[in-house]
Amino acid sequence: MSLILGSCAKEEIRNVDFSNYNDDDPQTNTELDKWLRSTFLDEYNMDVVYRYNRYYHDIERNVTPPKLEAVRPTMESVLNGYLLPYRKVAGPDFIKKMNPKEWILFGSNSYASDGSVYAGTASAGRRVNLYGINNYSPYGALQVIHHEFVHILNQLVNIPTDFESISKADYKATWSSTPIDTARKYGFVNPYASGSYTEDFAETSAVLLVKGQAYFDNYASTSSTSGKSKLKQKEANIANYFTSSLKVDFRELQKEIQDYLKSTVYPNDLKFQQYLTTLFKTVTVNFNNPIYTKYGETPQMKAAYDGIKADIARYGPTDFMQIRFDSSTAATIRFAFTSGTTQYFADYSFDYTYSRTTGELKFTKVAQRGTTETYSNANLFMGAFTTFIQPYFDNKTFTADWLKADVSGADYNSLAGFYEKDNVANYWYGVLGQAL
Amino acid sequence: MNLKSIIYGLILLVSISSCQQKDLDLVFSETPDVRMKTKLDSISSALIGAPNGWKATVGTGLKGGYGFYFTFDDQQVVKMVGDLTDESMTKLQESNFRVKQDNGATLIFDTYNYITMLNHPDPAVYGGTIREGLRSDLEYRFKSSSTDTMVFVGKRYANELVLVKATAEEKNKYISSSYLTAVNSTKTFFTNNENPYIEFTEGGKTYQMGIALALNNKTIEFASLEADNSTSAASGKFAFSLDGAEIINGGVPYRGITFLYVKKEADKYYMVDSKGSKYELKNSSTPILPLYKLIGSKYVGFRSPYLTYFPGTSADGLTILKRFHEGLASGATGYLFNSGYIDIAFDTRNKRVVFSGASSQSNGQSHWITTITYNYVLDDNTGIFTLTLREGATGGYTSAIMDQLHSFLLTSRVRFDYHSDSGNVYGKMIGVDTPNVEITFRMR
Repeated sequence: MSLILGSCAKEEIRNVDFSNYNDDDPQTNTELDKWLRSTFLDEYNMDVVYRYNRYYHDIERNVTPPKLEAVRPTMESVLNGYLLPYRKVAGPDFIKKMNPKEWILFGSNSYASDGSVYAGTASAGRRVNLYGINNYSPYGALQVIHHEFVHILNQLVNIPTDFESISKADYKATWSSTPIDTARKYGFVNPYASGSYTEDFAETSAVLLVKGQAYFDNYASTSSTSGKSKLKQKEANIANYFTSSLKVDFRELQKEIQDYLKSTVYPNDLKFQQYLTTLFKTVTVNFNNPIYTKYGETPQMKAAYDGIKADIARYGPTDFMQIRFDSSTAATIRFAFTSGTTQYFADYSFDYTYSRTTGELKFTKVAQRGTTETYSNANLFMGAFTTFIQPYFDNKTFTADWLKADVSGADYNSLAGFYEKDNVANYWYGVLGQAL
Repeated sequence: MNLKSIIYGLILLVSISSCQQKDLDLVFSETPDVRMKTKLDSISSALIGAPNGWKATVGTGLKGGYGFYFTFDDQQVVKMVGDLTDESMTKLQESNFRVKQDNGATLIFDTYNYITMLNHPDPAVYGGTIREGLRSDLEYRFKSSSTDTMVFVGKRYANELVLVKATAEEKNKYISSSYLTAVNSTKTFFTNNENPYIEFTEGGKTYQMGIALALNNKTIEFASLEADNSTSAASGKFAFSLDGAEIINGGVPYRGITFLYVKKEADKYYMVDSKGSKYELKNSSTPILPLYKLIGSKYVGFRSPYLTYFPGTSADGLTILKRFHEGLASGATGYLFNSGYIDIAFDTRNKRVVFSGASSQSNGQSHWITTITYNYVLDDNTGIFTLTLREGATGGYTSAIMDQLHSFLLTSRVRFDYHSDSGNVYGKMIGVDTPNVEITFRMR
């Protein structure tokens, strides 16, 4: 009390209302502002700042504000390609809690002094900066967004310690001078990922989530042996981080994000046509597989299959039919059957042509490429084969694509459908394999 | 005594003690928050309140000035045209602005518009350099205002943004594409009249002042002969206006006159000075000042940048340049370089020419320089230079690939002339005894 009494003896500083003068609250209420408020601020407590403020970017760089018309498309892809997939797979509580609260949009990229370009940054688990939205591409933007959100997740739940050890010896801070082929050879998804294990984790996750599993597998298959093994170790580690540590089903998440992209821009990296015969070397049809209950039987294919199956039954049950792309021109249709306790193969030789752009695949029966073993087995059922299977494939053109059905996360990217040209009612599908 | 009564007791005491306090004397009439708010409000209301909007100029660090027309409204929306491109002069474009306290009252163009292009870090958008564009700002600190003018200063590059209230007639012109028509007319005048000049008197004597308008770089240059037959020069930056061009930053003072505008009146163009005097722009068939007269005053020399061959270079000239530029990376010097340049510099006092060959292994970040020095004799009537060797190649690593230009300079007398191409003016060196050698340089 003596203190209070003492205070009356000296002059007091007057109250200052800082809201008068430090007032930086851009107050427009356009349709855009309303949409941003109801979609992001009300629902996710997420503030989207698109009006320029120098203090949100590196102060020594020129970074421009966005064009007004670029804001909504960018934020729509944030919503549909990032927030909603997480919301669906991980649940509303997860995404509302983890989602960074400040999103700052810039029109231009942010250029570092070495000429490298920042497309996005994340800081303190709270803020994401997205640069370059004037040259907006949902595909590119989503890679940045997912990359940044993985950083945010890492700031809340640490990267598993065993991830760092996978490529520990190969990280170099001067990533911008690392050529792409070197990065690939050492098991990095791109040069940026080779800078540090934190960037590697975010970048590898973003590639898996946005560019897709097929892209990733194809990339890994063109790496060195050790590079491929490291890439696959990283994938397993990341999938485990999501599924076990965060309780977010990584495969479902991949599917949700990529379904959005496929329904909008459909980037080439996600297209099946890119990968058949190079990455995916076999397609296996086995009507005992539960997928045919889930996604439907294919009557014409089934009839042909059952036709030869009845003949093979003389020796034992048919295990599967497998289309094998042996080289860039030669294919084999193989039937596997079990007689006694041993599995045998019967191989029938075809040539094929395939277009990576249209996905059109055409088989032509050619003379058998051998006479012994699998080829001599083939002779056992040649009559049934010629009657049932050969007419189904020979000289017909099929368009290859992912199976056109709402497949579950577990089957995502592992089923391919082949649709007869000009007769889409006739199609067949099977499980993809990457090794002959 | 319960807690509540203690608190009430305290409040009572505080009230009593504050009753006894004297009012604080403020150095200024109001507290900072009130004064700042007043200032922000007055700037906002002035911007919004101009009934016909504002015509404006802003400078850039890398090039000249740019002209704009703005209207501001109370929804923080600014509409503008600007003399950057044909589109930007004809299409009124909308974006946002706000006025904020940030180390002083600050006007911020806070979503993308034409003015943003001057700041853009990607040179593909509107030229300039990577990371800095043309060196122009988005944020402007309030500096001063008068009845019809507001002046702001860019926060990073410190170029002035000057806003002047537009008239109803000017507004109509700006929003109806007349800006483009006016700019094209000005450009045409300066393209058709290759050697524009004005006449002015000084000390009872009439002088001709040559004017060079760099339409792309938006700089204006003056040069004239002084009483003692030497030359002098001055330069400034301009922005296009509805009736010509405005020289920014208060005009260019030159020989006692401050030139402010290039102004079109009834199909004639005039220079207008700060006193309102007009000087008609005339055209001369030959340059008012031959290039050689300006060496040492306006230009210090000539440069050939790495692997850059300017228009006007003859085939034999190109051979000489390529010997140097292509020799840098080919190993002809015994070393491998990835950048370099040629400089021809004049030392008029000592009558020397220095020929430098620069080489770099850091893409031009740093250079080693080889120099050859010549004495020269200039024939003042013909502008022909005769060079004799003073000191052979010294320093650096490029003497081997400087050989062809060196031998040309010693075997042929040379003269210099302007070369214009696509709105750019270059300097050309022409062999007198070997007339098939013509080499175009950037003037420095």
